[in-house]
Amino acid sequence: MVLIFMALMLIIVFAAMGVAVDISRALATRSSAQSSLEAAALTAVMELDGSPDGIQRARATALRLAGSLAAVEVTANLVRIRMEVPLEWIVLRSSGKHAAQTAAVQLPLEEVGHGLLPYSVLAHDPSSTDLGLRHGEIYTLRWAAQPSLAAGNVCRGDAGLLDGAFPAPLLLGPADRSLIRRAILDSRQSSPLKIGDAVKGSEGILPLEREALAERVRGDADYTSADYASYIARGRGNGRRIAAAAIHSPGEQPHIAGFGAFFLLPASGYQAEGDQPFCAEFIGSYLQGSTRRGAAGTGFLVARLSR
Amino acid sequence: MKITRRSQAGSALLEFALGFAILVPVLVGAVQLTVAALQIQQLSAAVHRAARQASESDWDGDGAQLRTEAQNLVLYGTRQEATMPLFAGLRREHVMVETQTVSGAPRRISIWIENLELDLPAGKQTLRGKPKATFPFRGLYSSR
Repeated sequence: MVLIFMALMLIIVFAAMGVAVDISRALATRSSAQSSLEAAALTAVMELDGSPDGIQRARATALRLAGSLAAVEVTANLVRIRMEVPLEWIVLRSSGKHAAQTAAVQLPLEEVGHGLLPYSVLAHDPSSTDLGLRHGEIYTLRWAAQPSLAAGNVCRGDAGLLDGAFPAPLLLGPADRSLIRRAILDSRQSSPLKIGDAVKGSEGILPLEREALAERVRGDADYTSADYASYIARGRGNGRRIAAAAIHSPGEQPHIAGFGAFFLLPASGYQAEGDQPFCAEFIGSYLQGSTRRGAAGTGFLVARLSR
Repeated sequence: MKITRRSQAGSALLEFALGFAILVPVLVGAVQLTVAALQIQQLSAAVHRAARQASESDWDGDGAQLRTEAQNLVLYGTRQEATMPLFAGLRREHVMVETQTVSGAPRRISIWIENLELDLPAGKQTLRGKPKATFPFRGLYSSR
């Protein structure tokens, strides 16, 4: 009698073990599929740059990484991937499917802790989505002390603003030499900046800033391209020439209106002696970690999984 | 032949002992198998989480600090070094971190487990090259 009972118990225990093995295999398959989808969605969303080409690249990247069976949905700033993962139940002798899905998005930050150049560009129209700045146009990071069209020391995009009341040349944040250098070279801020903050700055140390900007440009594998379009077409750059900077509203009490990505000019553009401004090309929104602009018109964006 | 109550009891005891001798090792094996499966599952989740978090970190110079932080994330669940690893037997040399760069700039970070020996009921098993997770770099890149 006891032997029969034990035999029954043994069958039950073996069956339970089999089911446990099947369940753990299924869990491992699910988690591995989820991991792959998340990596694929994040890689794909980094391709979005506001252009139709960017959407195509994001879709192709998602399909390449997640597999051709995946269903990929791409919008201007989001990549969503769905996939049915086959689950095999060896002991239970059956099969099933798990619907895995994930989405990654380019998320705009309201407050930026680090990653901004210590300069702020003047918004031409703070109420518009692009803050009145045009893609491909050259704007002022740091104004000349006495800007005038006659002297030729005005960045092209800001020439129309010269009505006698122009911003003072400002360096935001650090006053110490090593901090200024680090702020320009590595976009290390001395304090966070958020939209709505008052723009406060110092006169900085012009020769040091000039040299740090030129050094940053030379740190890019493509330090010669004249503009962002050629930089992207060449495809050799490592992103050092793409810098995020604040954009501020005009007026007597300027405040931060947004953030944007600026393409630094070739090093020679920052090395001219005399009363010269620092200019850079506005390219749109800044996407951290990317060698391209982000998907939005302006902003400091980070690629994150969407919950 | 006359079967006595005493011989019946003896036979039941013998059957119980026999069954017990088989059942207990099977049960212990089942528990060990479940624990091992859970460990691998947790290790896989830790590698995945660490790769995702490390890919959002800042890259300074040659990325050595990021690689150490990535190892710490797998080992301790935090960026800083701690005393007790989350998994018994897991050491720094088991956690491989590879960063793929293009023109000096980080593009991808991969983390995987190498040469970690697990004690399973069926014998020792060595994890080589798995679990593995790769994520695109999304942090701040500094050249020095």
